[in-house]
Amino acid sequence: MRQQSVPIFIVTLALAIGPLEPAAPVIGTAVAKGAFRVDNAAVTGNATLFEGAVVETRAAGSSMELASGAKVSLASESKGKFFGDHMILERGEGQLDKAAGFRLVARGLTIQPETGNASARVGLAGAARVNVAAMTGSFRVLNSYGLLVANLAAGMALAFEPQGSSAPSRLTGCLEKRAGHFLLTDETTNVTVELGGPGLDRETGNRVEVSGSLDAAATPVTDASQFIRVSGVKRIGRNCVVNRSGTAAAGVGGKAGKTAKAGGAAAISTTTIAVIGGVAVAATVGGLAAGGALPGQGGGSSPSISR
Amino acid sequence: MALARLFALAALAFFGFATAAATRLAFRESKDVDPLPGEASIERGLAAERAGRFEEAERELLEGARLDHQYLPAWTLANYYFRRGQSGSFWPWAARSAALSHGDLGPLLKLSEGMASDPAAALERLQGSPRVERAYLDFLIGEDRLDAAQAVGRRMLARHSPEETPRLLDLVNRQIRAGHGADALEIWNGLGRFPRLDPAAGRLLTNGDLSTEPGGEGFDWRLPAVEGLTTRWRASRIEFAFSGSQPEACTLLEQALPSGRTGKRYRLIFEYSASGMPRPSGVHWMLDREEGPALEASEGWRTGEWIVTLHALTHLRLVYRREPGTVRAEGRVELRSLRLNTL
Repeated sequence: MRQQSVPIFIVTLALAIGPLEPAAPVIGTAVAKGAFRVDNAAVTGNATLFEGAVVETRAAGSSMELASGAKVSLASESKGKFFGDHMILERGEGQLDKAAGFRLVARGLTIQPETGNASARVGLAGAARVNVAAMTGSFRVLNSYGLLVANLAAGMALAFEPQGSSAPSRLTGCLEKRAGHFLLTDETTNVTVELGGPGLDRETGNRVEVSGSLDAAATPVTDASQFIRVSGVKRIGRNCVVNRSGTAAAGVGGKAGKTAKAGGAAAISTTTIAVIGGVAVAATVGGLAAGGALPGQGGGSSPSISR
Repeated sequence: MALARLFALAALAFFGFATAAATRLAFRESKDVDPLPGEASIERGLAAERAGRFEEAERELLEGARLDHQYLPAWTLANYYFRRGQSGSFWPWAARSAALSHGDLGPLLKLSEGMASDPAAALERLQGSPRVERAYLDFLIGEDRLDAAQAVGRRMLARHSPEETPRLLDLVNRQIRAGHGADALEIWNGLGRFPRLDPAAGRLLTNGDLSTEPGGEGFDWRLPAVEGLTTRWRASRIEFAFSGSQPEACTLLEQALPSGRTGKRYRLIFEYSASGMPRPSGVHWMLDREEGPALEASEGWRTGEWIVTLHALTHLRLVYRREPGTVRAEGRVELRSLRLNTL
């Protein structure tokens, strides 16, 4: 049974904040129907938030109200540390809405919108997993070194588990050659990488699974975010077609969406299909639906924190 | 009554007999029968603030406070005026929030600090009750802001309520641990639990005659719990019984001494007996890291003394350390009549 959510809205008050400049700058307000905690102090109703404020929600249920401006919602039993331009999710679930210029950090991953009117839901699961579901707009997910590990379009949901920076990369997609450079857009993460290594030429135009390691010293071509030094290439299908978003459609002998077990990343799930930038990434089966009721829908209303 | 009036006015409006003014009145009075009076106004006010419509925001929040005389509207207004930097409007609502709050005052105190020049001024503006003062002291100690806590402690001390003693003793302990001897001494003397300490006059030792059981707080004696060592206080003396299983090194007795006059010399005089103890006993005085005389084995009472030079806040300790070539001591040491005199 899902816990009822506690609505908390933290709203940026760039316009509303007066001339007062206390030691820690005011970054917004938190609003909830019910009790919550700010910096370990119990608060009822609403509170002024200072830079670095830690907000914790409890189990009290209430309806959610959204305010204008960038917002972050915290679900019940969640905890986040808030700054003017980002929030660190420490427990539970959070949701970004209209989050232009705002980013959410969870377990070393940074989730940031690409468009102003984007909203996403981010949840921590188990000891290492971060679930991200883009609801509107698109989001980029970066690892702790700032390396792109996923592009989420609206409606996509992915699960992430940092594996350590030395974890080998494993990507699947249609191998193409452009101006002498081998490029592959991973089907799970929608990240385009440049590949280098033996055996790539003969697989051009095929759907392949490649493994290798990040070459941080190499500069990838413009369309790619990183350069992967390939150690293994496995053909999955022939004559694939790269669609507009860069991901592969099934070719002869291939099965689009077929999963492969990523070495060293099996813990995430049996549907793991990508390891990139030291992060294992899996598509969440059922997309957003797997994430349960979205804030404002179904049984509980999600607390919202907006800036 | 309000509900009845609402229905009557609504009925009049329905039958066309009521004027537009009467209809407006019905709606206005409907707020008075709202089961959560003022809540809607607060929500509208906060929304208006977010949208930058500050006049409307203030009007709605004040309306919320008019409808609901409880905590939430006052707290919301205090926050609003804080964010707007309107000190004059902030304080009345902050004071009202403090008076009406039954919960954690920390967030309100944090706002108040942002509006006041110092803690004492904030308390003044909050018209701080003893409850607010206690909350403020806890808040400041929680933030490890001992300078500010001292100001609040001073104010609490002026009331001299026994209820405040544990908190103020905690403040003294924290000031001692932080090395703030003068601050610790100010509160300690104000509590009046023992004769006033006065470093300038050479009065540095508390409870030297051991007439009171060591309380372990402030400048009083502290008796650390040590496994294998039994400590017993009787009026005017303390007995330490060594079982032979105590640690090889441990503190038996300890007291913080407030800052003396810089470089001033003092004579510590004490009476002791050390029956059944080995030679050497391993029991000796220490002043911070400086080692003092040992208490040698003796069947009867003996008088010992130690000339010490005091500078800042120091810790006088009676310690045990197993001497090389001996086993851990078994026996009994008693102590009485301690004095610290100016030379």
